[in-house]
Amino acid sequence: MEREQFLGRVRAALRGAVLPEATGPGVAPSIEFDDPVSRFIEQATKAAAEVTVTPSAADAVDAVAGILDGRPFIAWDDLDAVVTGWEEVVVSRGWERIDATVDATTRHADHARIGAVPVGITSADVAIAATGTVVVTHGDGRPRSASLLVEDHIVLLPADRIVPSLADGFERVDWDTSNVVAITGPSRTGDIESILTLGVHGPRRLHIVVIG
Amino acid sequence: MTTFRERIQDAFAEGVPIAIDRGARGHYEHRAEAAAVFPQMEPMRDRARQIRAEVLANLDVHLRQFADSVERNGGVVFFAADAAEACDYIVGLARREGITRAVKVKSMVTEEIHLNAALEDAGVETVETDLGEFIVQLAGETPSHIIAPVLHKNRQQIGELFAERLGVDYTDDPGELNEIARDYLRERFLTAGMGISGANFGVADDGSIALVTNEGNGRLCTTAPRIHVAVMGMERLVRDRRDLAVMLEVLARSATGQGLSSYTNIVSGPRRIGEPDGPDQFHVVIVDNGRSATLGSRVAEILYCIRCGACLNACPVYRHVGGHAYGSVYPGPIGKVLTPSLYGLEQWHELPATSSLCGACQEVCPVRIDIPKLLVELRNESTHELSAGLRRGLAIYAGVTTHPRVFRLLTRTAALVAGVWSRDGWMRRIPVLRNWTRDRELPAPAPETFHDWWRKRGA
Repeated sequence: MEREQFLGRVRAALRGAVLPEATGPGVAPSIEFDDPVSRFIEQATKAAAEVTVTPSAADAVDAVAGILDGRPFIAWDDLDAVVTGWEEVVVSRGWERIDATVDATTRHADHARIGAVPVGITSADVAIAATGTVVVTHGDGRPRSASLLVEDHIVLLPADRIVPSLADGFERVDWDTSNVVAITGPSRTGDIESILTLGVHGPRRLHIVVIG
Repeated sequence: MTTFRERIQDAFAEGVPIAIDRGARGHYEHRAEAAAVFPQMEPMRDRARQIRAEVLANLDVHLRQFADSVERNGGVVFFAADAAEACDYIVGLARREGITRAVKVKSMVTEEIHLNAALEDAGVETVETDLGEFIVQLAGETPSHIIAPVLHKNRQQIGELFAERLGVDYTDDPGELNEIARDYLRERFLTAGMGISGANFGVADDGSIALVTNEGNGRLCTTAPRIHVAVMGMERLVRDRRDLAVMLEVLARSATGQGLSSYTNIVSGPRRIGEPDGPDQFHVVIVDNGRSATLGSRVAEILYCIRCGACLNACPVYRHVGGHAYGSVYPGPIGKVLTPSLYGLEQWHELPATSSLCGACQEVCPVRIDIPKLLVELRNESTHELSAGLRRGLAIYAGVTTHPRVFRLLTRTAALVAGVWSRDGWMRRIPVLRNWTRDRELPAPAPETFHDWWRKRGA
């Protein structure tokens, strides 16, 4: 149906519509925490993420190396901004970083290749204390596959990026991208008899390395 | 079509109510726990309700803004008046692009327009990827719950189904069943040419859509295939990201009791220049299919619904009969209003009657839809369809109850006569009300009427 015709039908319907409103303050209630970082760690852990808290960037590299344990990985291009020099440390041990660029002409083959990589490393531009959520903004140099096709997803998270609520987080995100994902724990399902099972389609484990 | 009664009998014969009751009760309890530990739950619900009312009051304006924004992001918008137009557009796109396999995120609106059948008829293999929906598809069934489609099956049945249809060894271990599905579906994700999703919300001012899943299939379907098609009921808009955040605060809590689902996936168009992965094309199909008629009716409030499924879990009728008994795509309290208003009360007049109006649905609804009131509206509308016999009966009842002397005489007589049909204090069969007592039993009336007892007591 033509757009104008469709919208005209909606407009006509609205003339007779009964749309009761709640009486309320007209704004969303605010969400705050005395200690957002502790709240984040508590909630992320509750959502089955594995949280490591490291006092410095150097310790964060050790934590990443411990999780990688020699396995090949995908990583975002701009992680140096979070942990300077992390890649040299890992690559110097002979561990392989796989390019995750998908070419439109070899899409299926590229996905098959990338889909076999066990670990992905990303950062998160912001994290949500209320729910233990990391908000991952994909885009230039930041493949979605790093947080999606892998078995283990590692998130490098500077503690000062933790904000109280999702609404706060949305204000901080750079939305100039085709895809933002708020991730709360690893992939899960309760579809079979409501029994919790982790690792359905996405990563089986979500590791969050909180820095500072 | 079968009647509501026949479908209930089928469900009981298959032992469905036990599985449904257990599953729905679990979800219900999880929601209660989530609400209890979230101090902002009640004011957040108030705000969520307002947001729905506000966006619907100017829906035409917001739809235009949304469509413009999607196009600005490099997406394509199609307005579908009904199911046929929506399916034709998607099938046409698949044909044009030479698509032979599509993967799908669970979506009620695609169930509503019967998209899978349309694609299969056109030779496009269409694979459901939500674990529950995948199981339902393998079994050749339909979902019995909005967010837990396979609530009606136990794991032994699922194990047998996998062994039979996928050629694997029988197991009823949920973890092992999950692994089988993961392997089977991963290959399909990575080779499909088209990914099809619904949309939990469309954001009017920036043209993005939000997709909420726990498994990650929503992300795979919108990342791996080169074409992403999102099908969205026209009422599913919010104005901006601020409003989106409010809706997300109540959605997962009401559905599964999680603060947020594992993946709240916000898609804003196709892959952009420089981005390493993502789809090359993004299409949004905006579906009316009866919604504008509902918007103009006395039950427009039902369009506030955000499809969390909380009302199903709370409903004593749903818990007893399961989703399939309703015979419609949308089951439970929400389905009792939505189905007749989308598809016509004449065909679906049974559904508004299948409620005790207890209000459990309204109590848990994240946007506080007054479902009991809407059910009464629909019942009022359908009274003219009552049979002549029933109308005569009601007229006699009205006459009796408005004449005290006649009423007293008749209740006294009834108490005496009813004693004849009573066994152990219960009446299980009343000859003149044979149909009515087929599923109901009544306590035998007291030998003395209340009026007589009261008069004696006063004396």
